[in-house]
Amino acid sequence: MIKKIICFLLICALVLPLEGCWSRRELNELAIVLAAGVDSAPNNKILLTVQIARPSAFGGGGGGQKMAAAQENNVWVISQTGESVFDAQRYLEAKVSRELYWGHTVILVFGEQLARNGIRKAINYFSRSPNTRETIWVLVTRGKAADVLNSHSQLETTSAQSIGNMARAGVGVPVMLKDLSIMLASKGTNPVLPRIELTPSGKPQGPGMQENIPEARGSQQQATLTHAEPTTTGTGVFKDDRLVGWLDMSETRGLLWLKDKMEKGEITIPSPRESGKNISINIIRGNTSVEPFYDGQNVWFDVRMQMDGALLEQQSTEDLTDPRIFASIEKELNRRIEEKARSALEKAQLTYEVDIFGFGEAFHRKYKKEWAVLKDRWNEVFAGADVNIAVQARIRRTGLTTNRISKER
Amino acid sequence: MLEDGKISNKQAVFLIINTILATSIIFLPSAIYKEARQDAWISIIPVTAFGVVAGLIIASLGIRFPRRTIIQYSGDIVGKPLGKVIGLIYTLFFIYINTFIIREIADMFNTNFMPETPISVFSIGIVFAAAYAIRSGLEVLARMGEIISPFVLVMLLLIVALIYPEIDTKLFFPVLEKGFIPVLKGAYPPALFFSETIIMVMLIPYLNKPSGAKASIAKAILIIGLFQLMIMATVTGVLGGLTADMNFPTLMLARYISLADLIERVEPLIMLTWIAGGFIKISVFYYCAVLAAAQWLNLREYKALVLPIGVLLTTLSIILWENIAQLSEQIFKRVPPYFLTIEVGIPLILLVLAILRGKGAAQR
Amino acid sequence: MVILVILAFLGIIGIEVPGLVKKKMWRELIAFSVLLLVGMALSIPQALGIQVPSPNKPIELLFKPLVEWMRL
Repeated sequence: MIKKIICFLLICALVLPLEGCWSRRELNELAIVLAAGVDSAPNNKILLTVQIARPSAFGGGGGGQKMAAAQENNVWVISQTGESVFDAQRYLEAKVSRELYWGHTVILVFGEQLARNGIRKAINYFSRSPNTRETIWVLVTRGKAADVLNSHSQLETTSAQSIGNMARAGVGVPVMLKDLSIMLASKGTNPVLPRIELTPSGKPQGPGMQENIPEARGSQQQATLTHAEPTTTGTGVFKDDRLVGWLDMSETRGLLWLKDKMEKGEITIPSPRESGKNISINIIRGNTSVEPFYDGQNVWFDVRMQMDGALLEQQSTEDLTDPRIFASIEKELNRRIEEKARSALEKAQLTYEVDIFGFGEAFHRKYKKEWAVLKDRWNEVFAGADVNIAVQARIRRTGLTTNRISKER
Repeated sequence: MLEDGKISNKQAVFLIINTILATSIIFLPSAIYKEARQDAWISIIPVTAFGVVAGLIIASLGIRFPRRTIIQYSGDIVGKPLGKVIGLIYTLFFIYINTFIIREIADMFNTNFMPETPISVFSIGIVFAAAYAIRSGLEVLARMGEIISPFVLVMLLLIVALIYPEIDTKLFFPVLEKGFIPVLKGAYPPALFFSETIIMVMLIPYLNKPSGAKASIAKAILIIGLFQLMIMATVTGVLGGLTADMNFPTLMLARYISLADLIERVEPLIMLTWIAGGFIKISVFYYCAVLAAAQWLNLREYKALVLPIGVLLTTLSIILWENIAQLSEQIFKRVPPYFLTIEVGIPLILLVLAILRGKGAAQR
Repeated sequence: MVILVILAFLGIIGIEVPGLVKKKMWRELIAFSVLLLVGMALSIPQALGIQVPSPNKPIELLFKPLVEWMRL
């Protein structure tokens, strides 16, 4: 009998945990943060901006009623100052009726001022909290991060997804939170982050979609009829965790070459025979190896690059069945790739004096003892190092045609 | 006999694998990496060798005294009073080490998955389930291990396979940057885990082929070494220098997985692995503690001790440490010499004495 | 909280004690009681929110002589 009563009580007790557990998360109680931006604020505070998805605007139902491109803004962007990211987030919850959920955050943007003061203090929350993911794309902007977040995309549902897709497609030099952490932890390299900005891009495709243009907003003037789309415009160069300067898109290509991250892209060279005409080559694969040398005093690097490409556009009329022409195009290609790499290298060595290519890591791998001596002044050593670049470009294919079809005979 | 069950040698192999791997893959990578840096994977090799030797000592000792556990035969070797002391040491050791394990698993859950839930919920839940398993006897425990271990191993393989494209081989170089000393230092924290074959001093008597104990233990340790090596190398290749600062690097691996925008957020898989593996590990040590206590007190039945010891385990796992920093400081800095003495030192001394004094059945 | 803990202890006693008494396993009953009392002594203050001094220090003291004896 006693046993039966105990059993009954135990069964009753089983009902208690059924209602759920402490850490449950119901979808309708979450505010899904798609993008986070961190700017610096006066008094050593930070300004956290979040882009929160508005579930009603996302609703997949409704059949064909909803347009492909957004007719209303799908997100809500709000900012809050705080002593730390977590602090600001806590204050935000006084405004946001739901719990901020970071599990689906796509991008994290740093404002220029904050980046110049150092991103370390802003990044820690994102790598420490179990809710955020290390696969967040991290970017830096010229101006304020809040402005970048306060935008929408013409094609994607939100600007955060648009930026995330670009990063995934490999535009610029995409950096994930984990890559950034690894770069920050290393003495043999310095971080780079892609630069994102709003640039005028066509006409707005819907009513009430004109809030993007920062100039219009700032000066209280009538909004112009230009849509501003988040655009990758280059690369931010960091010395440890402080932003020291920028690379433009062309130099970014050089950076990718030197970091051995060149996966796809395009190179345009002047025609070897006809001036004023150009030839464009699609890069199929690129490969870079860096070998450091050290003789006790000087450090120098041999960089070898290989590229396979396909010729995809020809403004001139060379005979592409002629191997000699091929060779001269490839030679021009070598020159152009080296030029791009050199431009990035010069910026890094002469203007900013930081190693952003991971050359220090390569040095560390080869000269483990010497590295211990040099590592603390590596950026200086790097700035004074000679770099020899040898490029070997190959054009493997010429698209669907051999020569240009419309020949001017 | 307190325990009438028999387990097959294969089941024993699975139990050992599960017992060691369940927590070692969570906590070891960062501890090893802190010492050995990018050579961390090399550290696994000496420690595996150490584990095999430790296992062989334990097996040789167990085989000399068929159908008896260390609690029962230690008195034969060193005399009754001292034998009782050794028995008590092992009983308390099995309880004490289990509080670490319970706390580790609970902390892992608390930090990563359910931060708002009080830690006692995890401790109580898992110990309660383990208590039920143990009251059902050793055979049930062994069969459970047989089901769960292959699952755990497959999950680990799956995670490594999915994260494989992210591995950057450059992160393994330079090899042996500072010589062998850091590598050996890196082998120190895992030594504790790799000599957890100490559970076999309680289990060898129940093997259906005790003579195969040596082979079983060696096989288990080699498999563990292989998996640990694989995980260590993957962690190093993906996280590089970050490994040292991570609380749970293996979980990070699972979080990084992102294949074609389709397979991502798979960390519940690894959570499943850990709860399953951790549960077996806790049950095994719990069982050893209960059995040791019952034999030490010359009881006729061990079941009466299951729940009281469960209460002790739960409570101690909560009150012994205030935070995760204390826990890992103690596990990697303070207790290793003591635990290693118990796990390897005492069995070795007992074995030498048994041989010298001609106690126990001589090897066939 | 405390009530839950006490209920849990009562449950444990309810599960084990009748069987032990019926089978006249007095030795087992004593061992059971002693261990359970230690468990109560540790857990009930914890449930009441009283800071129990961590038993870690005494445990380490317990280990010390052993290790020193081993090193002889």
